[in-house]
Amino acid sequence: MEVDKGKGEAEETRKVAEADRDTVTLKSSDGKLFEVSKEAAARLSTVLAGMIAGGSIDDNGTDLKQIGSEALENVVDYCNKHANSIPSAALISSSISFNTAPFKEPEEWERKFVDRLSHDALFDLVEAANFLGMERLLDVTCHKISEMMKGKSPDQIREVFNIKNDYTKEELEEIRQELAWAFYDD
Amino acid sequence: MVSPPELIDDAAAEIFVHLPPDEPAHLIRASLVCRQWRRIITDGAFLRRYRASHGVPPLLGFVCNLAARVDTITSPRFFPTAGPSIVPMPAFLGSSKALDCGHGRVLLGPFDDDTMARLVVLDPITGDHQIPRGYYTAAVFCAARGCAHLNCRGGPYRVVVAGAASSAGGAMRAHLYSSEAAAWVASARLIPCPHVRRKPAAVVGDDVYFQLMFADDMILRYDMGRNRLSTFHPPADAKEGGIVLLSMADGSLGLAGVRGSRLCLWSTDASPEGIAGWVRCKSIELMEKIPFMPYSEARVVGCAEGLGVVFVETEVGLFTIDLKSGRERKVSEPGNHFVVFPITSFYTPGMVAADIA
Repeated sequence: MEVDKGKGEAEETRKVAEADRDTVTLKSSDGKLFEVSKEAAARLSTVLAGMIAGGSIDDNGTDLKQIGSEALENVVDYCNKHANSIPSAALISSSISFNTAPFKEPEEWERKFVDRLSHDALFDLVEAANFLGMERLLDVTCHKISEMMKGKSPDQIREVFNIKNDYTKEELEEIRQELAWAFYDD
Repeated sequence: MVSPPELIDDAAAEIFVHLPPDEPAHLIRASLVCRQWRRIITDGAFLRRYRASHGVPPLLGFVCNLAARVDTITSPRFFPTAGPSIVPMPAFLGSSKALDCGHGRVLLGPFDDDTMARLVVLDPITGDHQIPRGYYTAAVFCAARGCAHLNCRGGPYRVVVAGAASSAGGAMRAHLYSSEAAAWVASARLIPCPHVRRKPAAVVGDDVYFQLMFADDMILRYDMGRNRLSTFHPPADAKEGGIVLLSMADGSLGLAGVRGSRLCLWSTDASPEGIAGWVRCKSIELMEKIPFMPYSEARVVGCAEGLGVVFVETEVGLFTIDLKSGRERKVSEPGNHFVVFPITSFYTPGMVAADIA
């Protein structure tokens, strides 16, 4: 770069460089910075795609005040892993003759990705995915949580989700009698 | 964040969508966690989304006419395929036989072939039932043509009965019943015609197909649009081990049967003028899937058509075979099931339990 370049020109160069960059920088609520592939971010998050298209990405770190650093790290990790993974036949295939359920089972790497998360990290990631409009990540995290509910009694589910029972004893007894079959493994 | 975090409603609904519909207990238990969760789960918009994201009403079990002992008469019994029995069998089933299942209903007919005896259309989940009047065999199905069966539960249905009354000189008669009209709305006749079998019927577009008895094992077609009966032949090599008729995803008529140790699927396109030739479109080797197959004869005894699942019985038990994946699953011990009628339905909270304010 030439020494005598005017300020306007330098600004111009910086903007061009920014547009050419293939990553974006995201900033968590607690001020930590994360780099993520621009292509993957735009493909996986409707909110980030909108920000990139609208030019509201800040090179010094786009503020995501609703998302903590741990959740954002997981979001970025997911985007980068997704960018590197080859979609399986199940994800590409469009000709299914009998059953066309829209939800595709998690890929092996997606399963591993959510399996290593703690309860808190998983719930935080659900909210981050919801906030960023990341449909696939939301599906994969919610699927994992739904698996945690399987085979549990209402009491055990309340414990996992930290929920207070606001039914009366009589109400529960009435339903239990009518739907006794649903409580076989209590 | 507080540990564990309280879920916002949107996220909770996202999670409930992933609970499998073929194990209804999961959603029922979730609805008993707290009032807010029950509100979310019984909300109409959530249930529409839940059903849409699972695509097809799941298999809950099947109904089969079985004798308790060799020397007793057969009566309908419900066999769950997921978890415990969720369907209580009402007392009046004792003196009747299951003729068909469709549109989330069981169609029950008289014990003998007493013409115009009682038919009962039963909702096995809620126990609601209505009584049209009827014949020898019958089919019950959704009244809406081209329906995906996601949001039609409890809605209008049709019944087609078919039978050859001996007093009518060997004529086959079919009658169409509409639940909206609460009446029989059309009748058709065909002479001569063999007797009809008590086997599951298939409904494809405007046509209802039944199996006929005796030498030729022909297929009876009732065209509801034209109110006309006709017969045609199954594929020449399909007959050993019994067949089932089914509606294919592409709108053609399918036929599943066993040849040797293979489960085969044929299909044909039916136009108002007649049917095109049969095309064999799938063949699944059962020997690799069902243990001890070499020593036992396999029979096709039913199918859950929307799911593409066929029921195959051998000396070692009753199996479901997924036509798409070829996956098999044992659903019952051996026991001469002959004919099974699968019950497919979404079973979600709020359908039977008294609603909690």
